[in-house]
Amino acid sequence: MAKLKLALYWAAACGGCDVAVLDINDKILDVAKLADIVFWPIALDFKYKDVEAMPDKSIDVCLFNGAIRSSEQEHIAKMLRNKSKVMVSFGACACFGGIPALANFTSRAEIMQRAYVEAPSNENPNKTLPQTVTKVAEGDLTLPKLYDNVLTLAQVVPVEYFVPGCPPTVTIILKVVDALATNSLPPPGATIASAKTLCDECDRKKENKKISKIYRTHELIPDSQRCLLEQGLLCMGPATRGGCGLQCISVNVPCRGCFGPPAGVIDQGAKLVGAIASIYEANNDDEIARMVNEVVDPAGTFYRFGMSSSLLRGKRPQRT
Amino acid sequence: MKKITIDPITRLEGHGKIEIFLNDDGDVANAYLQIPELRGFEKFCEGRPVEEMPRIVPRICGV
Amino acid sequence: MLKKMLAQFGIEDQRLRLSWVSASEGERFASIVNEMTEQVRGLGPLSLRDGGKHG
Repeated sequence: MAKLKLALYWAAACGGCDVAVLDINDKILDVAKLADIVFWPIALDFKYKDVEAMPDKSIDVCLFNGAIRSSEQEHIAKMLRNKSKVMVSFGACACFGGIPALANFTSRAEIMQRAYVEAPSNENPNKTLPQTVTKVAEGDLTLPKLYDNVLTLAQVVPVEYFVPGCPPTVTIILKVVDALATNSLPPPGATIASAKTLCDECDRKKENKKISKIYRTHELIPDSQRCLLEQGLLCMGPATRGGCGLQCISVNVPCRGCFGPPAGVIDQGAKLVGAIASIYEANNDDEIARMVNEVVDPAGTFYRFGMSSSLLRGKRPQRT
Repeated sequence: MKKITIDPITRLEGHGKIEIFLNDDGDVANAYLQIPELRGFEKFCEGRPVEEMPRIVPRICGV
Repeated sequence: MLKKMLAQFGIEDQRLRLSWVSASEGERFASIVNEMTEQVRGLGPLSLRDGGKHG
């Protein structure tokens, strides 16, 4: 079999997904045997103009991580889509918006103000903000336009596969590599993780108890054998796709949903609100009010990784 | 002025582009490094519970 | 809880209402629906982020 042409790219990302690919350690040599990597900014020196020069559909697989929140990111996503036979939405940011999608609670203007003007460590007396075109003595400098909304990859280009996780686990990455090597990818549209919820995968003791208090994570050291939700910690398990190998649960930390909603669930946060409401023992208005008080940041917790792929997508724009 | 663009800069974490302007002698008249990304952690962490910060801010850089 | 979460999305309290109405309470059902319709109409269109374009 001829070597595959593989591209990896990062949009509004942190580099974690690229490092996760490198975390397969010596198996990267198997990848090198299987594929020529034609674009991978973290590791190789190919430029955008090299990609522009490639014929359409000449890249076999593109692993695209990071959310879309600028004109450049959308442009490169579309370019790589044209040049690639298969586009993989890699990691929580590309699949659901990820942590950068928490910016959907705010706006581009507020972010610029905070980052460039208000931040205490700034030295910016003229309150200069980045512009899409800046004139300097030698000519014009350009920057991409930042969007108000953070989008998933699939919201800007068609995508064949989804690999969730922040970052995807080594096990799952190896599954993807293996599927490429043996030409056994699932039908397009598939998410490469478990079809069931994290709860189904979790081996902690579940007693189907109701809870009478919700604790913030610093208020309780949980028992490492019992279900975290039953101990009063907010765990996204019931509304999160499994397949991560319980990386957080196994260190006694509740899930925050980085694998996105399970199969068949349209809105991860809404699913979790239902799950919490059904296990909380609240029989009158006072008890209900207490429960609501105990959940300090419902939207930011239940949509921690999934703002872009949620139904509401973010805070309503301010009325002018 | 002749301009050489390096886009993207590679083999580090993050996005960047460099524009190098050359004068008529072919010497560098000026060079600019631009960072074409901004995610806004400084703003969207506001309103989140403090004990969640260790689960949010490591996503600034995954390296 | 839903109201608290929706408030974080900038969606007003008055857009959501929970009432228990039995099949035999026809008049009550009609008046609740009318009240709610007027209430939401007064609040104006929802105008979601991104104009509801994606997703």
